[in-house]
Amino acid sequence: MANFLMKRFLQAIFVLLAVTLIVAFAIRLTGDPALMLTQGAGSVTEADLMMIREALGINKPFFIQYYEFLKGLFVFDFGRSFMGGTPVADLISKSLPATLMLAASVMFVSIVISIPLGIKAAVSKGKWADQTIRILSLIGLSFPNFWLALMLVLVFSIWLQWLPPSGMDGFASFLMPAFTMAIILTATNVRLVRSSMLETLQAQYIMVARAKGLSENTVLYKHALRNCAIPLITYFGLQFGGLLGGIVVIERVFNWPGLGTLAFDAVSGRDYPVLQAVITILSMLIVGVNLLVDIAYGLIDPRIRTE
Amino acid sequence: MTDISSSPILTVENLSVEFGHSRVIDNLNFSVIAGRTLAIVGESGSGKSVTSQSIMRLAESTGASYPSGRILFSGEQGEIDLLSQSQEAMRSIRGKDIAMIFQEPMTSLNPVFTIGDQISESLSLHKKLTKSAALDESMKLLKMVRLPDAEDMLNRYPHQLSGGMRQRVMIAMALACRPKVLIADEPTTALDVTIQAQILTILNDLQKELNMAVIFITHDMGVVAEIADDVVVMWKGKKVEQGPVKELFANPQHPYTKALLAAVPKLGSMAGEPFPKRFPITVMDGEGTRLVGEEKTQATACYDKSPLLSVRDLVTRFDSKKAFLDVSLIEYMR
Repeated sequence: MANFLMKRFLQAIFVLLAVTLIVAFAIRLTGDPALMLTQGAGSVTEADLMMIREALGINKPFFIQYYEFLKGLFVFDFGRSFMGGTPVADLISKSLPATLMLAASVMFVSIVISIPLGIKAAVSKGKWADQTIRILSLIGLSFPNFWLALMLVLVFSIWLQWLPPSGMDGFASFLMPAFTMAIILTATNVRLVRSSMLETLQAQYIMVARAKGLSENTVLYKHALRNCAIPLITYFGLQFGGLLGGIVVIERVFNWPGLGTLAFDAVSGRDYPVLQAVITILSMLIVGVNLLVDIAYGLIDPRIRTE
Repeated sequence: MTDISSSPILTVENLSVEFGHSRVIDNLNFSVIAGRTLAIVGESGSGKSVTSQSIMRLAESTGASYPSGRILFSGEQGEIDLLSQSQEAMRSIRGKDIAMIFQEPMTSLNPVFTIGDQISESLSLHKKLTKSAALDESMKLLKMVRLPDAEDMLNRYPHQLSGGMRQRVMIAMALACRPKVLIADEPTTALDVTIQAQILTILNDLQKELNMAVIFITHDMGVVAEIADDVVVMWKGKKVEQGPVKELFANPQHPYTKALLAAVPKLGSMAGEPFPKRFPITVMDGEGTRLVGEEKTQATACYDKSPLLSVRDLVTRFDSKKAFLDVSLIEYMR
């Protein structure tokens, strides 16, 4: 197990290097930030542009810039934003908690809803409960999330005026963004839980557990759930990555002060250091979560632990 | 008035079982007495397993219904009809008064829980033992089924055990609450012959010790001869013959019983034969039997030609470090 984790850890470092390198390269293809900054200004000479480039540090060769970025990474120094010169680390430490809290509540809501529903659907396969759950999840799957977000704002903020339409301010402000994304994730998760549960319920040890006289809840939530936890956790881990990507759109709609909003502004302003930092942090999160998933395998299944 | 030792502990009366509209068991009757073994014999699909799962009332979870019949069990509260009990009431009978062991020892144990957890589970459920008392009792049970290193075994996981060991764990699990009736659904079918004999001996000894009634489901007449007192022969969901084991073997009435008995190879029938020999097999044809194939010697090998495959001086090694650590390998060799 220790060996396996060491391997995964080295892989994670390699993945991070590759991601940051590609991002740093690709971002520089988007155009010259100096031109962006001088847009609308009157007469700008080539010498002025050179000066700006030097001040921003983008006149140096690419690999020097990348090396400096990597060096900064170890001390959590991502340079300064091209827009306003705020240290990028400050921007990140302000937005990261907002995004993490939102993502965590989305995953939490989705898992807490989808596991009991998926199990219920599996146990009552073919009966009305199963059909209802499947139809609901199909409906949930068919919503585009930005549309759902706007509809929720329309109903709950504008008509009913129950919830704040945007910003992050207390528990109530979490409800709409979290549910918008959770509904779509839950729709997929219910189907996943249902199908892995159906497979596990066929197993002989489930019949054995029932033959012991255990209650149906013990059979399902203790004996069966732990056995189908591996595909579920794998999927939840991957889903978390997708979620961080999808959060950009939702953060825009709800004006959520998170990494997504930060990245969105950085793209439109060709703010290299900010965008580079946001993507690095996001990929670290994704790689980290998948590392945790690998560790969880061993905790769940003793057969993997002894390998 | 019959004396208590010969009154049946479990009686199946006119039992019919249906899945949807297809009837898989039709009007089945039998009973079993404490301390005795009833074998239910039949081919796959004859309804043996459905019978056992109906007694446990587990067949409903796969969609069975009971249009008629009673399953009478004489427990602490006197005689009750298991078919009219609620699932809630059945839960306090399952695993406590009536226990079951299954065909596939490799898949009968939950792979993610330790042996100790799985045995102690029913003890804490039915006997309300504390965790540590239940584990102590589990260890005694493992010793009872003659597993070595019982203490160490409690913390092992199923994948670290061989098939024979797992089946012994299953027996320990089933006997945890000293049930009055044990249903063994082909417990030895998936095991090799030497392990099969061990398991049958253990079952036999424990039956005497606990004075259990055993319902033994099998398709192997060889096993029936070894363990059963009485036999019920099932064919296509119906009981076709019933009787004490000696009578049934000496004088089988129904053609299907004859076919089953004919399928057991006779000891010594190959003595002095240089080549493998084929015997005709008895199969059912409508309501009677028919012989298929003819008796012939399979003298197809040519011993004067060079062999198609030969193995010389073969040595297979396993990485010694791995082999030392791999406890299951060492266990398997015991």
